[in-house]
Amino acid sequence: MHNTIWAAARLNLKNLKLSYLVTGIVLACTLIQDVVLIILHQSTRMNSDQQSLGWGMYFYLLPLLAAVTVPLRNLRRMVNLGAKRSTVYWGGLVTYVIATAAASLLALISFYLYEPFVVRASGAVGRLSLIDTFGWASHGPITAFFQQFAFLLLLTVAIHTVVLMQDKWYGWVTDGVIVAIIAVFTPIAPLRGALVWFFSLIITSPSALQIGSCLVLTAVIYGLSRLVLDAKPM
Amino acid sequence: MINLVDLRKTYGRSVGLDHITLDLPDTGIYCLLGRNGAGKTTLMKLIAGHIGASGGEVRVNGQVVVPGHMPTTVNYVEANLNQFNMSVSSLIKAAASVQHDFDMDFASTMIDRFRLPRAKKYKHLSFGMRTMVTAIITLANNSPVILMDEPTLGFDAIMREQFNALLLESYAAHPRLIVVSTHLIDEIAKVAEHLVIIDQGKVLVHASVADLDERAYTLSGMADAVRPLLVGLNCIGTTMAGSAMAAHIWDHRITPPIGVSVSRLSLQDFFIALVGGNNNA
Repeated sequence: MHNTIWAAARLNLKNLKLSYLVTGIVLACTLIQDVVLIILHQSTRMNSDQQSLGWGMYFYLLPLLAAVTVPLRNLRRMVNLGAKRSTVYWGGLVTYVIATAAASLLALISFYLYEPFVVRASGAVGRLSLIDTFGWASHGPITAFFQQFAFLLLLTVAIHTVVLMQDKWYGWVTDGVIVAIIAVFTPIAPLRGALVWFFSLIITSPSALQIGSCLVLTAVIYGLSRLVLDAKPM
Repeated sequence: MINLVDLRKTYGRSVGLDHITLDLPDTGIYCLLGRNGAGKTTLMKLIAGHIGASGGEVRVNGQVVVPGHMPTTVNYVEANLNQFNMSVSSLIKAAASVQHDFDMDFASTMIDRFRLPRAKKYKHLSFGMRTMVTAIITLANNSPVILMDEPTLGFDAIMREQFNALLLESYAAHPRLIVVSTHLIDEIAKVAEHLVIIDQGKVLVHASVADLDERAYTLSGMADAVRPLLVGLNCIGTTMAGSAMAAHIWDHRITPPIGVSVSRLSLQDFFIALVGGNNNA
């Protein structure tokens, strides 16, 4: 059983070409932009007043796009190869854990090593990074890695679950509920307070609480996705 | 091994399977016949747990099958479906890695026997070759129950003969319950031991091929001589040619009087008479 789950994860990771391609293109384009800024700064000594998104943030695209590709494309192909639903389900989770861990690690390395170099070399005002914005960096790189990983994993399994249910009526209802929550909660102060509390919990709360709440929510949402998967005709 | 009890599947107002009760108790090669839309694929998907029933129950080796609990004892791969665009070799290896009891040696032998290009990517294969890859993925599994949906679709005559031979070889090596759905009726008759015919979501016939040889026959002669013999017999179709008549029977054998001959009814003719709805009498 465990072998088939690892095999399913490997197969998923091998077949995320679109995710790799889009992530790669965006990273390459941003890298070229950075090189141009550095060259301009070195030749003109003019400082850029732009504050752009940090290069490492684009690694987030990998797990987020995987969460679309796996349920939309790979899941069915995996079953066509003779895999059972449980294999596909657990294989999917392993895929997301690996992709999220890789993206978190690369984003962290970029934050600590690449971004300071670009800021110095290009004279940029600064570079936006969620690691910094959400205050994860203040707890040190190891805690920052786990905080970022837990948040990104939660986001990934949420996208996976929503995408998985799009061919059912409750998928559309879920879409409507998400839009309604954002549209209705935001203008009304007490409801907005609830939204703020929720996002504070999963983003900026003390590290152990933030990691714990993200992982618990991840488990709950991925558990719900099993119900969706079981009801899905193949 | 497979028990279907009052099984029903509906798609909105359309009925896919209509209260089917069927037992496939023993190992053997079962041929599942039916016209397009008769419910063959739906039946196989229900047995494999790929879809859920609207009513009734599917059991495989006593275990109730629902989509959340796809039985590991059943291997079903639908024909002509999208696969990962990998080389044939990689695809077979991938199948071996995600399935539970895959016979890699058998799969490798089949690839060589059918001269499938190992390095060629799936999307670059011909239609028949793609079907063959799917057939290999299904048949190389050593599960006690194998379900093959149109495994010879797009095959040329030689490939069909080779496939039948390999089906028998596979069965001889691992006796199990193999259900094959197909439109190529007389070809599968060479290898099948049992026959299940479904039409409009109902099981019309469940019999052994030996039973069919005994009970399916044609009475031919002058209409005046043939008609009286049909009383009390299950006549599934008749053909008129002038005053001559051929009546297709699915019932016990009778000894015909002089002037009426008995001939064997081929599986294809039997199937057409049973579900074709052409009764010229």
